[in-house]
Amino acid sequence: MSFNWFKYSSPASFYGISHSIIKAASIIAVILCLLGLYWGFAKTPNILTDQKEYYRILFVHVPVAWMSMWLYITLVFWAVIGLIFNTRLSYMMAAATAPTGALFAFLTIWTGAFWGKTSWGVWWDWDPRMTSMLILLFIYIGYIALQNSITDTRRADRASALLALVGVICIPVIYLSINCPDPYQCAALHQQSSLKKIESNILIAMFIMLFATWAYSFAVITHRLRSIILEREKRTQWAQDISKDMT
Amino acid sequence: MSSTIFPVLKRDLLLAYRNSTDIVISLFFFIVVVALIPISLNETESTLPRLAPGLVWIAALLSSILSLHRLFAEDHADGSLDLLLSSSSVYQCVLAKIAAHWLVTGLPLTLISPVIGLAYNLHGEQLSTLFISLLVGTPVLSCIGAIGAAMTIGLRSGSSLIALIVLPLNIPVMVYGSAAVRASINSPDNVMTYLLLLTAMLIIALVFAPLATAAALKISND
Amino acid sequence: MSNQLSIQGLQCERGEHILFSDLSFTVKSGKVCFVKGSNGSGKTTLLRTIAGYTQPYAGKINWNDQAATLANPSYTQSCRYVGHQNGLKQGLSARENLEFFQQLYALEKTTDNFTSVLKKLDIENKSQLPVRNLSQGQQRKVALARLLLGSSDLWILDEPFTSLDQTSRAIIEDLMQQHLDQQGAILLVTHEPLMKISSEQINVIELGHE
Repeated sequence: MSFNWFKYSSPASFYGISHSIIKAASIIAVILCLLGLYWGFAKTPNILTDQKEYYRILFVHVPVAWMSMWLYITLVFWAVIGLIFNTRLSYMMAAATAPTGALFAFLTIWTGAFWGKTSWGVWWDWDPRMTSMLILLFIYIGYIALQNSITDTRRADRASALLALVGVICIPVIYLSINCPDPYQCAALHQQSSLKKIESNILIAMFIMLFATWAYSFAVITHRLRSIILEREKRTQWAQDISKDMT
Repeated sequence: MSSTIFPVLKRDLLLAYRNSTDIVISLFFFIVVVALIPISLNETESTLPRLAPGLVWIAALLSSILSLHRLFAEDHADGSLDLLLSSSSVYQCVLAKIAAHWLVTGLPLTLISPVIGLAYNLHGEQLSTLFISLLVGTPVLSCIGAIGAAMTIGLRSGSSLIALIVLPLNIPVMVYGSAAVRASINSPDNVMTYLLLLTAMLIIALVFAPLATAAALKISND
Repeated sequence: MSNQLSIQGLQCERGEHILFSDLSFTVKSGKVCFVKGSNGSGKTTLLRTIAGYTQPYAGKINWNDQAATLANPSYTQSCRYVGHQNGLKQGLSARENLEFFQQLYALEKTTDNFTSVLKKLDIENKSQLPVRNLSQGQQRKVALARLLLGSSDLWILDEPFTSLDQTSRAIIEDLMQQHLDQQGAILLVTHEPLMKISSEQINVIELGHE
């Protein structure tokens, strides 16, 4: 029995199934988001150790932070697949992922600033984690800028894929240098992970929100991918047929 | 197979020598930046050494980036990039170009850095640490910069785009480079650690940056 | 010694636009392959693809049954590409430019190689000047002088006669004829017809027929 593994790696066949993916993912995102917010506001304590109500910002802050990092990993994955197999769809996937990742990195910093103002009294505090997120945002912006500055799409795809790959090799070193500017005091600078100490209802709300952001990313990225496919394949017959149907 | 390092290095250095304003410009850029900051900050003798490590390293980074856009753009414009790419070792060509870039931008500012250090009220071992950290660190700046330069060949927004791409990737070099100098002021025993970290980065950069740059050149010259 | 460049089912695109597809032909020793086509039909892309700088979307390019890519040293050593750009450093003299090329490709050295090559192209008296002081036509001749350094089997020439006067054109055509006589092959794009080379030695490839 033979199965065509590359069937859905062709833009045309992907386009066909994408509509139902977007619909399903959007519905899941909305439901999970409502559920997560409800859980976060109704089922959780009003005070977390020394923080008042405003600690609830973590239900947005933590999921978008994780998601922005996860999206960079998927971006690099598609970039590498593209560089190895030269599949156009992989490059388009990577290109479609970047804006959402950058948005999430920005949201992380933004919500983090509000949280920082309420709990530490400052908007920004060159803390290693904050700085790392800022660097991630810079790398996303660099990727998007390079992609958009090159008019030839094939060169744009391959050059930005290479940049994403170089970025992922450099990120551990950057992370290390920000976290341990002084290797002798490195241990003292690490924040302990606080996940285990947190009450389970807070964790549940946080994870529901995580899946909500994941579903949202899935829907938005697939939607963006559809637009990219249509734009790039505009000379092909099937893309023209679809454009006619839409108007 | 013979080496392609020597002819490319010789050619680039000869061109730089004949057009020596390029060398002078990036060196004076460095000096002007380093000189402007104390003027604008209005610092006193006692606080200047505290600022020196960070400032000198930022100035070195900016001066290195300033000249990057010409690294491959001219070769691309006049077509000699084609010759390099079909030579027997693109890796060696790229390595030679990086070396030439460093000899023209990084080395002069490293050589002048002790004088800058004196102006910032550093002395003794602090000066030699500044010198060595720049000697080991500035080639890494050229290596990483070459990747960005190769990716942005022929683009309208080239030079500013290089800065956007390359600056975040250079953070580790800057952090440890300035930390080495700071350690020489506060805790001289730790200086060696930072210098070794910088050396490790230099070795890794020398191995991988030419590979990435060669790949980027092939993509950009497509 | 007989060499052969064979192109099979080649497809090239530029910015999502298919320039040509399913293009097949061979270039044999002692023959000129003359690529014709209107502006934008993909002549330069074809030449750059065959020289290895551009990746084809589909198809094979083989040099003596080996893949003709930049990763194949036996191909890059025997192939000479002169494109639209001259590939000369403006700050170096003609002689220095040629010397750089010879060292980069580790071509065998013979005594007064450069002098004889530059003499053949009638630019010997300007060989010490920086290339930026030469006229366009003279710069073009310095670029073409690279063809004569060392030994090469395949010349890939993109509009070699640009900015050359009639005399210089004739010199270049003579050199092409000599190359063919020594069992060399030439892949050529030009808008002007060849004057000196006999039509039996020319194969014409037409691009842009759809």
